[in-house]
Order: sequence, then C-alpha cells, then structure tokens
Amino acid sequence: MDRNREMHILLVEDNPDHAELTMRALDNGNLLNHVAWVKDGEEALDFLYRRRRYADPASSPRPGLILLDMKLPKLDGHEVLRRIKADESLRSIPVVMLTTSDRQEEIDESYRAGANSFVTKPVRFSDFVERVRTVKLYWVLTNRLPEVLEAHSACASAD
Amino acid sequence: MPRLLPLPLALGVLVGLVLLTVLYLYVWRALRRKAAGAVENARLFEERGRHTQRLLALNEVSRSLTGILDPREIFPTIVRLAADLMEASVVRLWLYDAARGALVVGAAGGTDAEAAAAGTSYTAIAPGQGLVGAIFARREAEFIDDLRLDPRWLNRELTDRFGVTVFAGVPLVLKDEGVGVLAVMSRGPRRFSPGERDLMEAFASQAALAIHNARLFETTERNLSETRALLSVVESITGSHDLGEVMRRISREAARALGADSATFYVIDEAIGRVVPMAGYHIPKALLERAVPLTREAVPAVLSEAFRTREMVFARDVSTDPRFQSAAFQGVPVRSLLASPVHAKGQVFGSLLLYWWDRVRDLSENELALMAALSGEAALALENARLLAETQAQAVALKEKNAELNSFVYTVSHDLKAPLVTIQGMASVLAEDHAAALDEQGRHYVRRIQANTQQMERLLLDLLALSRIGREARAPEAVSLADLVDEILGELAEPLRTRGIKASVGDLGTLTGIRVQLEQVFRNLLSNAVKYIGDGPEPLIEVGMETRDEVAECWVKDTGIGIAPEYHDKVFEIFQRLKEVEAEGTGVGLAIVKKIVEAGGGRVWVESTRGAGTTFRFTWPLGPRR
Repeated sequence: MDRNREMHILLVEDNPDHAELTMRALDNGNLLNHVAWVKDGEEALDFLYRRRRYADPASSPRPGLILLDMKLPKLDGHEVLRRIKADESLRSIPVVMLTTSDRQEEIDESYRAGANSFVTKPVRFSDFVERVRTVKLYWVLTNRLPEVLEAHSACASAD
Repeated sequence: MPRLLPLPLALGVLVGLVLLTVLYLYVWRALRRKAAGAVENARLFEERGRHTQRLLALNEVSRSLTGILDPREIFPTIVRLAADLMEASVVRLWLYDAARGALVVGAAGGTDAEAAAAGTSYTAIAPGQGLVGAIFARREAEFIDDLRLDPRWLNRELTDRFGVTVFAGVPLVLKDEGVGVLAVMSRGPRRFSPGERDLMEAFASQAALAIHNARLFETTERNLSETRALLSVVESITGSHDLGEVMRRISREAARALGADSATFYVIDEAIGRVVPMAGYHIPKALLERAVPLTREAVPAVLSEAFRTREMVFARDVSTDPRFQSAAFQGVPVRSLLASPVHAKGQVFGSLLLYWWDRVRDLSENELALMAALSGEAALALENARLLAETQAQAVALKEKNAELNSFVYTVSHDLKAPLVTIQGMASVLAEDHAAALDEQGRHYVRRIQANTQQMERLLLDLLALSRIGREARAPEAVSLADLVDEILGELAEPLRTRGIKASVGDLGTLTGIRVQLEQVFRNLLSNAVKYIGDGPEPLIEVGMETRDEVAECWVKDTGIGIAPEYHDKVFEIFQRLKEVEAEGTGVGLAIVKKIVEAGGGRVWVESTRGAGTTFRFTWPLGPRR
C-alpha cells in the first residue's frame, strides 16, 4: 500500500496552534504522509481547484483525505464541505470533520452536508494524539480509496 | 096586595149584605196589598237585577284588569271598560306624572268616537287646576249634571261642539297616593244614578289597584331584566381574556342593555398621548371615519369631562346642549349621548360612549345606575385582562432571558474549549519533547498546567451539560434504575474499593425520563457520596426508592462527613463546594442534579448534619409521560 502511504492529507484549520498539534500528531507514527495546511475555507477551495496561489499543481497535490475544521473564517466549514461534495471531481475525497464541537445539531448538520466522519478534538493531548492517529490509520490503512483517486494520488505522488 | 116580608127575612138579608161588603173590602184590601207588594217586588227585583248586573259588570272588569300587567295595555282597557259600564260618550283617564308635576292623558275613549278623538288644548293639568285638577287635589269625586254651568270646566270644545255636558269624575287613589282621575262624560240630559256613582267609585279603586300592580310589575320586570343584563354582561366580559374582545363585548352589552343604537370604547394611551377608539358596536359609516386616535385637544368636551370628573356625562340632546358643540359630531346625527368613564382603583382606562341617533332618549335613574355598574365591571375586566397580558409578557420575557442565558453559557463554554486544547497540547509537547531541558521543578510546573487544564475541561463539560438541560431534544423513555445504578457503581469501582466503601442498593423501579439525564443525576450523587465519605470506620453508601401515590422518591445515603444545615440550600448552587475535602469536582454537579430533577417535575433536597452522614432525596413524578 505504498500508494496509500504516500497519500496527501489536506488540513483545513484556522487555529495555528491546533494545526501545529494536529500535524505533530499526524507526523508521529512513521507513516509518511504529506500534510498540506490551509487556514480558511477560501484557501481550501483554492487548493482543491488549483487556483490563485495554488495554481501550480506541484503546490496543490490532490489530497486523499481532508481534515476539516467547522469554524473557519471567510467560508464556513459546512459550506466548504457542501461545495466539495457538490463537485463531481472532488466528491469522492473523504472528508473528516475535526473540530472542538460536540453538539449533536452540528454533528447532524455535518453528515447532512456530506461529511464522511466527525471527530471531536479532546482536550487531553494524549487523547488528542490517539484520536488523530486512529483517524489517519483508518482512512489511510484500513479504508480503501476510490479508484479515481488512487490514480490521481499516484499521478500526484509520481510528480 | 104586597104583603110585608116577615122581619126575620129582612134582617137576614141585611146581615148578608153587610157580611158581603166586609168580605169584599177585605179581599179588596188584600188584593191591593198584594198588588202593591207585587209592584214593590217587581221594583226591587228590577233594582236587584241592575245591582247584580253592576256587580257582574264590576266583577268582569276586575277580572279583566287583573289579567293585564302591561301598563300600556291597561290604560286603554280601563277606558274601554268604563265607557261600556257607564255607556259614556267620552272617557278620559288622567294620570299623574310625578316628574312633571301634572296630570296628563293616559288614555281616551268612549262610545262616541268622534267626540273622544277630539283633542284637548290642555295636555297637562296641574293639581287644583280646573275640574279634573280639583278632583285630584281634593281626592273627591264630582258628578256634574251640566258642565256648561260649572266655571271650572276647561275643555269648552267638548261641551260646545259635541254637547257633552254630563260629567262624572272619580279620583284614582292607592294607599293615600293620588294616581290620577277617571273622567266619564256623556251627552245630556242624563243623570248618573247613585247606583252608577257607586259603581264608578268601585271601578275607580279597581283601576287604581290595577295601575299600581302594572307599574309594580313593570318595575320588577325592568329590575329583573337589568339584573339579567348585568349578569350576562359580566359573564360575557369575564369569558374572554383578550383585551380587544373584552372591550368589544362591553360596548355591545352596554348598548343592548340601554337600548342604544351604537357604542364606542375609547382608551387612553399614555404612551402616545392619544385617546384611541378600541372597540365599537354598530358604528355607522359616518362615525367610523372619525374613529381615529385623538389628541387631547381633539377629544370632544363630553369625553374630557367624563375623564376629568370620573362621572357619567349624559347629554339628552346634543344638538341643543351648549356643552357639546363640537366639530367631532358635525354631520353625525347623534341626539342623545352617554359617556361613562371606565375606571378602577383611581386609574381611568378610558370611556364607554353610547349613542342614540335621530331620537332623544331619557334615561331613568335605574338605567344610569346600570350603566355605572357595567362600567365598573368593565374596569375590573380590563384590569384583569391587562394584568394577564402583563403576566404573560413577563413569562415570555423570562423564558427568553432563560434561553438567552442558557445559550450564553453554552457558547462561552464551547468557545473556551479551543484554547484549552492548545494549552493542554502545548504543555504535553513540552513535557514530552523537552523534558530533558526542564529540571524537576520545570516538569512539575508543566504537570500542574496539565492537571488544571483537565479540571477546566471537566468544568466546561459540566457547564455545557447544565445549559443543555431543558433544551434536550432527546425523548424520555422508561429507564431501569437498577441497571443504571449498577453501571455507575461499576464506573466507581476503583475509588469504592480503595476506600473500602460498601454499596447497598435497594429495590429500584423504573423512572420515565431522559436516560442521559438520569445517569447524570445518579452519577453526580454517587460520586459525591464517594468523595465525601470521610474516614469513618464502616463507610456505606445506600441507594433506595419508594413510591407514594403517583410520585417516586429516590435517595442516596452515605455515612460521610455530612453537611451543616446552613449549607443545605447552598450546595445546589453553582460553584459551591465544601472546602473540607480536597476533592475533584467542578461545583456544578449538584446544580445539574437540581436542574434535571426540577425540569422533570420533581424536587430535590438534602438531609444531613455535620459528622452524621448525608442523604440526598429527590422526587420524580410517575404516571403519564411528561
């Protein structure tokens, strides 16, 4: 599963501290993955559509997994989610909501908008790391990605 | 040659003749007496017949009269009966009007329709004035054979044109009060016999009684109808709590009760400084256009007056009343107008106005009293409706405030989580990656940071839970307490074992509620019991439940350090914790328990004294699903 291991992950997180902690958690574990980090919803879409500062495909490889925070400036997390899922070319990318919220309404809303998974950030850091790793392990190792995506990933990582 | 009769024979003949004569005379006298007797009998018979007739007639009359209670019917009936009885050409019934202090014609009739119909130039006769006035004043009947010769007689037209010259006038008196005069007139020549006079007097007293009864009946009827009206109004206006509806009903009932054509209800709105028409009944178009909020200056004098004096203002005829020459009524043909201020406890709410179009209406004392009573009821109903509206508004505002507060607590707690994640995370990273760079003290500090962030997290979670109660979208279900408590004791197995606490669980039933919340209740109570178990020799925690009527009472009892009575209320407040024990806890636990129990319709309290253990009890309604 080398191809999966070389999968790119897009992290959409506005809080730099949380982003740092998340990426640290993702990095631990010897699973080589490239994590791209964007700070808001608009940047996320720019990345996915390869426009503006992400026009160069080299800077915006097609991600095999998106970790998406709910509260984002400029474009709200749910809105980003809806747009991704509305787009034929992006729909098949699994999106995992990674957020502090644990409100049932927001969980329901996320699934309605097409989220593949919903994960609450725990306060205790050890739990946090544990959880992030579990998420990654599942999606990267256990889960099988769609064919189309794999081809893209392969293409991307081949670059 | 005639021979002389023998003497005895001659004597005999003589005696015979004498006897015959005596017999004849006797018979003659007897016959005469008989005849006289017969004549007398006949006369008496005739007299009795007439008397009987009169009695019968009188009987008939009184029967007729007592059957009629309608005053309007009784006067013409009296006249008609009198005319029949006395075979009178013209009969006039004069009635005394106390308000005007004069006698007026109540009814007129007679066998001579034309004469009877002839008007009289004297429509009102003062007591003492003329013949009729004299009869009334002196309470004595008068029988005049020829009116033309009596200087007191006023109505010359009757005598001159119609030849009505015979007069019998009888006063109608009841219990020393003069009711009127019955004047019976006939064309001459004629005399009213004594029998007829007696008859008239007898009839007059019947008539007076009948009139009295009719009036009494009318008053009673009116009182009854007024009482009914009042009751129906009260029923009607207390039947609704809607302010607008109440005003509408008041307008309608008042108009109906007093026979008004239209009604409006004006309310003083201090906020905008206007007098606003709030409701109306049968308002004609012309007035409807003027039914707009009025500034103080534009308020018609009648209303201002009523507001100012807090008394009813009645204008019998607006068109001629100098007080109410107002532009407000121009083009609007109102004649009589009644304004009644509606006020209670010194506060004037507004005024009810009743209108009579095209006709002048006189209102009796009773009717004004009724209106006053209605206004009083209206004021009370309005006050009630206002209070209710206020209370409801307050309830709504309170509910909103509560929701706001809950929302606030929720948002804040939620938003505090993010930085907390960071602090915890960074502290952990520090401890992990840079442990070598830190000395023991440094590492100690980092550990304290971590421990406190965890405490903060617990607090936030509890606050979030607290703010969620009552807004729970989950449905209540039947929860087996035995299972629930078992589970929680399982969670607390470690501390129970460490401190050697025995747990005793009694017969627990089933409660209907939101599972998560019931869990919270027992979890908080049980963990508290563990926390504050103290150092006693045989620590014990008991859980039990009993039912009484439709209410369950549950308890969690411990042999711990106890709570002093002065804190029994405070413990349920947020952030209150006993200082004696260095216990982990957020101070929100019992507040959560209280909120859940009260939201479920129950009550929670504590029984405890220092050093003697603690029992927390709460009630929970059984019965139909909440």
